[in-house]
Order: sequence, then C-alpha cells, then structure tokens
Amino acid sequence: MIAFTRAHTYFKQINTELLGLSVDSNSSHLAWIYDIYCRTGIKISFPIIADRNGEIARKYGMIANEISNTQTVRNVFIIDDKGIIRVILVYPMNVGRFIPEILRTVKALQMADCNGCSTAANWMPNQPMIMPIPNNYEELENRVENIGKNKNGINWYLSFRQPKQECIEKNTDS
Amino acid sequence: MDYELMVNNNVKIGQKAPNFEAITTFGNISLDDYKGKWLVLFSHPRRLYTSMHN
Repeated sequence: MIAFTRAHTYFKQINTELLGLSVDSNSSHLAWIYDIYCRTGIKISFPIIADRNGEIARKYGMIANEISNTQTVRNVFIIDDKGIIRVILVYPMNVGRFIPEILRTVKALQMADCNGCSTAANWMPNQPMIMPIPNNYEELENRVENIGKNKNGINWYLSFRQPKQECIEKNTDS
Repeated sequence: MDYELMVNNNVKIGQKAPNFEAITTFGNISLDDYKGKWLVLFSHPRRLYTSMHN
C-alpha cells in the first residue's frame, strides 16, 4: 500500500487511478492506514475497498480456492478508460508486487493503443514499437524497402518504428 | 452475467470489468466513477495475518 502510494503520482500523470481491496472491514482499513500514517508519516492516497463478504473478490476471481477460500491473493487488474479488463496479474500471498512493472504495463497498453503497434519483451516507454504485420503484398514490399533504408527491422514481419510524438506527450510522466 | 462470473471465477482480459459498488476508506465508490480513466484495481491479503509489504 505504501509502495502504491509512493508511485501514485506517476499513475495520475498517465490518467490512471489506484484502488485497493481486501476482505477486511472498513474500520480495520481505517485503523491500518492511520497506523501507517503514525509510523511513517505517509497517507495512503487512494481508496481501499472493504469487501467484507468477498462479493467483489469472487466476481473478479481474486480468491484462489487452492490457497485459501476466504483470503484474496495478490491480484492486479488493469482496467482501461472504457471499463475493459486489459491485464490480470496474480501473485501468491508471500510475494509482493513490483510497482514499476505495473506502471510500465499501463504505459505499454496506452502506447500500443495510441500507436496501433505492440511492444517487444523488455520494452520501456518511448522505445521503438513493433509495427503490425503488413496486410498485402504492396505493404510488404514497402516494409522491406524501408528496412533496407532505415535498418529498422529484421524482415517484413518484424520491424520497428518510433512511437508518435502525440502519443509520447499523452503518455509522459516526466 | 455477474452470477456466472461469481460461480466460475473466470474474468478474462478483453472482457468488460464487472461493475461493483463498494464501501471504501474514501466513502462509497462504484466502478462507474472511473469512466474515462484507467484503473489499477488490486487486492491485498488480510492485514492481520501478513506483513504490510505490498
């Protein structure tokens, strides 16, 4: 929760909000966040849902019955601005999340949407993106010619281009 | 639809996020409140039995 709070400002800069959930009661959450404040001076900057009867957790499949039938595991759902679930990450109870990867994934989704491209392994924001595969022979030839000139790919089926400036501006957190 | 999800635990990527209304530390919130924004929704194990790490 502290780690998410520390990163909250970076999420906000890309039009993204944070929302926590556990099956504890609201008063237990209030006591918890006050305790965090007293001990660290950090105010948890986003709401935490008290899903007392596990209704939301069950709807979203946050409870892994093989592990526990009352406790949520560590799930992350990235939901886009149209209410579509775009990514689901699941971690066991004994491994914490790596917040920079969650932030990077939101950026990758936004950049993929904005550019009509996809991202390769280990992609970081503002790096070149993979262009969609050509749909016809002419496009294929253009792609091959382009790669010959610009050295921006391996072959017609794998070439890269810089993300559009307008997308970078929308997606920047610096 | 929601009932089916509750039975199967099978939300998948590409699907509409199931709506909810919830009591939170910031007051009542529903999923619709986040229309037009991206949302990272994350669950946390029960506090009493775990550390405070994320």
